[in-house]
Amino acid sequence: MSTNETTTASEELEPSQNQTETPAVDWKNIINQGLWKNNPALVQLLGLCPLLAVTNTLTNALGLGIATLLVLVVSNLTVSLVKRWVTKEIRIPVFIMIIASFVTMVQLLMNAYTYGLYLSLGIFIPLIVTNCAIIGRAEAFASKHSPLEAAVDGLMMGLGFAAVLVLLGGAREILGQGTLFDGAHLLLGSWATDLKVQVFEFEQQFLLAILPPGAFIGMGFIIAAKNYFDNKQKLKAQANQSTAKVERVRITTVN
Amino acid sequence: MKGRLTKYKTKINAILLTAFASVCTLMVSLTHLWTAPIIEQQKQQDILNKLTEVLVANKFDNNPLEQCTYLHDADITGLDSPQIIYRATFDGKPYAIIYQTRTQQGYNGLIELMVAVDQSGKVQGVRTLSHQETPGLGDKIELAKSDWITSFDQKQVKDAKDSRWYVKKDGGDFDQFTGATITPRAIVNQLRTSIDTVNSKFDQIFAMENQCLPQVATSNEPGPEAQVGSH
Repeated sequence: MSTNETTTASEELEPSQNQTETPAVDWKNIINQGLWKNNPALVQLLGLCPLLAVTNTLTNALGLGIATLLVLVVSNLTVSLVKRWVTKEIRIPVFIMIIASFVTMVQLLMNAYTYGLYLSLGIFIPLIVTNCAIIGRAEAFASKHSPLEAAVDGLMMGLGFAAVLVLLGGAREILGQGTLFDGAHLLLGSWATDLKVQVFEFEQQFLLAILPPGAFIGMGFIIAAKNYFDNKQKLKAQANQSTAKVERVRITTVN
Repeated sequence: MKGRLTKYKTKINAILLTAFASVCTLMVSLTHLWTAPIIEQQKQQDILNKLTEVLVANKFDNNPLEQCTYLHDADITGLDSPQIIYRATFDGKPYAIIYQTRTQQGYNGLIELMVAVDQSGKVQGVRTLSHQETPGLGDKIELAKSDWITSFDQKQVKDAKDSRWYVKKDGGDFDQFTGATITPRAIVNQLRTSIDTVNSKFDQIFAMENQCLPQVATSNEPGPEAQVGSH
């Protein structure tokens, strides 16, 4: 939770800074926060339990990603809509109730319309309730912003989370089984059986990728890659800044 | 004055919480009411799919879901409680018994199997319903991973100690997997004993009364119901 608190603190700062300049909503910032800068899986490291457990195939990862995304958007929207009536003392139980209801509804709907996927995701659908990313967004963002902003934030956070799930699921499935979209018909209907791609075949499956440790290792690589890009960008920005300074100095001397 | 205020606040909070709880419960209940018939239909469809997978397609003409009975026989089902068993018929004559059996002898936890045996004792089909065997080693018992599970098709069990019904390592006919002997051994052993018991009780099981009719009346079968309506 400590990471969560620090990120929310930094977030509170940024919008207020922007608000002093322009009263308009900083959509770009919301999108950037969800997809990259404050990605729930890579930066906040929230919801790791389902993330690591179900990413053994791309289909499972996509299924849980979509379910989480739906819950995030709807719960963010609802929390933002009712925030006016929720007093400070009861906000956490109310948020949890809202989230739990939506998760149960998603669970029932998945049970009804994507039965096979429901069976293969098992306990991890009801466990979306405990995904800190959702209550975290409700508390840190949705309860302080307008419904539209909250919904967009939920969408972007959900997309960010789903993207990491899909990336990890795809990588583990290719490494482990040599396939992609195995069992896609469970999620998308019978036409999707043809979606399955045999990337390559091997005698023995690469067990490490399929088993949970593979998820941890894969996750580590993804976080490392993100940090690498961030660092590179930072260095670039610093370089730009220093060149800018030099220019300014030169201008003053000319004058 | 302050006490009054907190009392008032608590009241408001209680009312708010109750209101939210009621709305949430209402929404979940509505979704449940809406999805319940579809979920039931999916479950039935799922069982039917598995049943038709273990049966030979053109050898039966009834809906096995409508021909079931509860059997209390740990030798067959692997559980010491009444378990559902389906019966497939052709032209009203007995064709096969479809039962689920389970074993704890696998490498990790319970392995659940669905088996169909015909009147002459020939295996019509076997499928793994659920298991937690090691991925990449023991999971070759799934049809999706390997066709090993079809090696039982058309085989017969002579008696409870039929020497062919063991894995090759134990001197029998059935392959084990490289790196995993325990899983196939558990399945072969469970099949041998359960099929032998089914063979000895085949007619007896078919004579048992049908206990699935009430379920059919409320179920989602649009076919028979539509027919009843048109008559």
